[in-house]
Amino acid sequence: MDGGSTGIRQGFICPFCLVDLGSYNALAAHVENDHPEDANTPAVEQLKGFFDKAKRSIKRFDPGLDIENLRGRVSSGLTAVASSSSMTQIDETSPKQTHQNTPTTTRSNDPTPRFEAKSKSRERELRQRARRPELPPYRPEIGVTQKHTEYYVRCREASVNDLAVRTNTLIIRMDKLINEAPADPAKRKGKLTNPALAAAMQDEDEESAKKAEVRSLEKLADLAQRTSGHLRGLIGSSKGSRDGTEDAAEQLRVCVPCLSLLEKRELQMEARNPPALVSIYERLIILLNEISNLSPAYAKMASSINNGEALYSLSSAEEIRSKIARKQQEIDLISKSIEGDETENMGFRERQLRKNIRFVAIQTLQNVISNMQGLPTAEKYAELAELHRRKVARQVEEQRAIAQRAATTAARAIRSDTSSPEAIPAAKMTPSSSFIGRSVDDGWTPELSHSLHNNPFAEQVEQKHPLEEQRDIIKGYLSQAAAAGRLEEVEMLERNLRDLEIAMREHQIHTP
Amino acid sequence: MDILATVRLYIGEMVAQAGPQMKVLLMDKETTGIVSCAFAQSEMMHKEVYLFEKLDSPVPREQIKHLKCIVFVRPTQENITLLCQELRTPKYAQYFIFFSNIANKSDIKQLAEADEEEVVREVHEYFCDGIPLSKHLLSIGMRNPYDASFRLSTTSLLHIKQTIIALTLALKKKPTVCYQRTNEDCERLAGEVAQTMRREDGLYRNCKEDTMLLIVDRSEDCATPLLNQWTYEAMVHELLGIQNNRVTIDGQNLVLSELQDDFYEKNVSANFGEIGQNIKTLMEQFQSKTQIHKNVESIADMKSFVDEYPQFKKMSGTVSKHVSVVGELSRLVGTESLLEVSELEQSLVVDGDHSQCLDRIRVLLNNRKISNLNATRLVLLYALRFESNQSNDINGLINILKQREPAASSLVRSLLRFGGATRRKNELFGGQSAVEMTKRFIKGLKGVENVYTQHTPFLLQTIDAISRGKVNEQLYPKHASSEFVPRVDNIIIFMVGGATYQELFHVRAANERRLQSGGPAILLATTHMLNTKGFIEQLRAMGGGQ
Repeated sequence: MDGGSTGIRQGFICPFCLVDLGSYNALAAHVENDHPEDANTPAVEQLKGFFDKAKRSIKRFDPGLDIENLRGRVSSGLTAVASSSSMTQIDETSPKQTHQNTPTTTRSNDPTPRFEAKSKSRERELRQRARRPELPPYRPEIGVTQKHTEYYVRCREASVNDLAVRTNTLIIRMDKLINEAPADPAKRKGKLTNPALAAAMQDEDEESAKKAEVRSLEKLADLAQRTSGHLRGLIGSSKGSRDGTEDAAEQLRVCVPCLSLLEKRELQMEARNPPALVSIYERLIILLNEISNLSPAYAKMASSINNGEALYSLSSAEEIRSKIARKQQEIDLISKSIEGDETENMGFRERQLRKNIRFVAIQTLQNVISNMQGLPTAEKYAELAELHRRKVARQVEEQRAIAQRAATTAARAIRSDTSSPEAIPAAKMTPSSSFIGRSVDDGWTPELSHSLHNNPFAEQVEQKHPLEEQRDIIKGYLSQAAAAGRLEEVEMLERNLRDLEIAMREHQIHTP
Repeated sequence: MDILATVRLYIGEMVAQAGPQMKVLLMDKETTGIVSCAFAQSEMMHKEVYLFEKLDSPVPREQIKHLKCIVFVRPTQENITLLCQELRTPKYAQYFIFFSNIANKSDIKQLAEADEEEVVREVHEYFCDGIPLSKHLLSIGMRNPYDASFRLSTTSLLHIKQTIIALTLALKKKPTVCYQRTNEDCERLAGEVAQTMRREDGLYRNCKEDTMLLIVDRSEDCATPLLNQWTYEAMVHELLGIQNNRVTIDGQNLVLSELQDDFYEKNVSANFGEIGQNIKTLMEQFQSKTQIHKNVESIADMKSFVDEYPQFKKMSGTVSKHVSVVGELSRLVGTESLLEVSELEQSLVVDGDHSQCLDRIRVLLNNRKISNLNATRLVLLYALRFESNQSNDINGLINILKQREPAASSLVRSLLRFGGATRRKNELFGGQSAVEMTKRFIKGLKGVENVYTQHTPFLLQTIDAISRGKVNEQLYPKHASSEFVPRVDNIIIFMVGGATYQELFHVRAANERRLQSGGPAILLATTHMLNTKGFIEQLRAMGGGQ
């Protein structure tokens, strides 16, 4: 087979001994008998596959074509689309085509669909459809995870406690210095630099730390703010002016590590008061959730109304529509205010953050709007409703006729098949009755109450309180459970209902 | 096994752990690639993740105190140090830390000690330590893992091992570890993976034992990355270069993701002819709906069609993007005479006669229309194919090529040292056994269907053998320290030194076949995705010191 691309032999040639056997059956028999040791090898499998393919190819192409011709056609198949933009043939060396190589629109003469292209994609489609039933459907799941939070927190506690102790000690010390210092500034200064005192305070640390924890946070915050205000310039001055010429009356000297402790404290305090943006943003998210929930409900109503159905009233749909519109406006306004304007002074990232929030809001709105169907005018709706009524009437009529026909055929079938003793009960059986005589231990589920479905939406639009809605649902379940004789469920549901009513009273919702 | 879906679940869970409120995602270079292939940016923003930052960004990051921060990084020493700095002066309110791999206890302790302000809320290991390029493909994105002696560098070896471990944990598999016997790196990797699996036994507690991990090296098949490709994805990578599912055309960055792009998903394995046809069909459907009558025959027609009818863009979503991609491909096919080049490549690697091939290469090397890259690939393929042919003229061709590619002779030398006959010890171009001959016989006839896609990667033989449960244990033995798995339902193939989209094509096909006729599921993992340009650059880097 090393004969090069031109040396292709045709016919039903045995791949092992290269004998032409004339037909597929003869070749298959020959391979099975004369080369049995390879009966299950890929070679034979592939050979079979190949013949299937070859057969298909023969169907696809004119039988008269020889392989060289086929090859030409197929390769032009691959190139046709490629060539249509800039070239018309593979053979570009021929000079007469050079003018066609200009990238202008040169239309190909042969735009017909490619055999192999089509058949291949069809094969792929088929392959995708023909799933093997034995393979369980693949459900991706999250992989292994490992949690280190507890270990981390244990490690942190050890080192952070130490820090808290140091900070609190420092603050208490400063409290003493600022609020309980002697009036004489000279004396005060002495105190600060007095190593004996510092040592004494050091000893105090453990004790005062415990006391500090009891102190209210507000007081500490206040203290830290008051003190660090003084402290800002201190580091510089403590380095620069050792001679003590500056007026130390209102100043304290603090070493660098202590200052950083204080600053951290201050930052933590700040973090407790989040900026206005956070609460505005929270409002925005609530609105976005609301509008995302409202719009499918509206879509359902709108399509029902446009069908002329009487399930929802036109006015309630209009009401929801305007509600959505109001929320849209608010979302637009809020997200715009979050984005702020160019003149506002904020960092690059902060600006980007706000822009992206706005982007999400706008995208959600666009999504909602693009899914919103219009509503008909009152007159148009009347027309639609009339049309729908007629259609339903017709359908009911048809269904009745079908049911009648089915009933008569079924009756006839039962009569004709009385030889089997189980035939009659089987025909009578409804799905649930097949469980008669066996206590059903599991699998009882109440169905959503039909009465709720049939409620005209007008009532739902007034938006019952969720608790109220829940109560109605549970009531429905309760009656179903009672009817089904599920005592356990009845008990549980009754408990549930009681809890709900208590909750409703707490929310001051009217309970009947 | 769907690694893309798994990674999406992991990242979704990270966001869920952080809870509501505005969030920032802090990543490193590697995890940025992971997130960007698993989620569109807008998708993340709808999960309230509005900012994306890099832990190692040289510009100091802005402090935004009201943000929650999700940290998703590899647990490297460098990242731990940076993270400690971050925690000492926190820029955000709360931190939720997710390591992409197994982290050292001592590193976690170090972090805890730096967290003086108690800003960290959670610390976890979520095992996504490679880029999920598609369902069945994971790449580390490591450009050149080899050193000048064609061996894996120590850092590459460690990184590859870590990625493999994370991959098995993500898929909840405890595989038996097999490797390509002829390659020492593969053996070493297999040993280290098996060892780590033993050591981390606890992590593998709930993992299934139904999987085989096979570690192979690129040097086994250097022909595949040197060929022009004609299936969509492979072709785009070969001609335009795909970087983490993104491609740049005319300065425009286009995302090619099977996740977000139906047309791409359907056509990713289609050949060049089919894609044009499929775009045309969509345009015709649009025309019949909108009562427009316009003749769309060529790519240029398609382009003007997209410009003229913005509604089409709206309706067909991503299709118009593919018009520009296909347009660019088609332009390159024309200007670089790729059909001619490809036909010669195919006969070089499939069944070409030596003297004929040599003549045709000489002609093309002197053709100015043939790009330097294509000239180089032809000479390299010739050298690889006819290396042991007594009458080969490798030196003659190198001399012609030198005018275009000054490093011609060092490239050929590197190629033959890296993946030549003496090193690979396999029958890359077909052997003399009856089965091999039959395969070639069939290939020859199949080639009738399409002359440009006759060649199949060597990996396909391996996949076929494994699918039928007939692994050649001489070539791919189980590592001594790895445990035996009684029944193999899944195969993870890790290809060291880069894989090609052509190989992915066959992995996809095998997984599709599985739906119909059974066989194991296959996932391809690799250090990086190769095209000819990348492969030649890799050879150049390896041969640099010689």
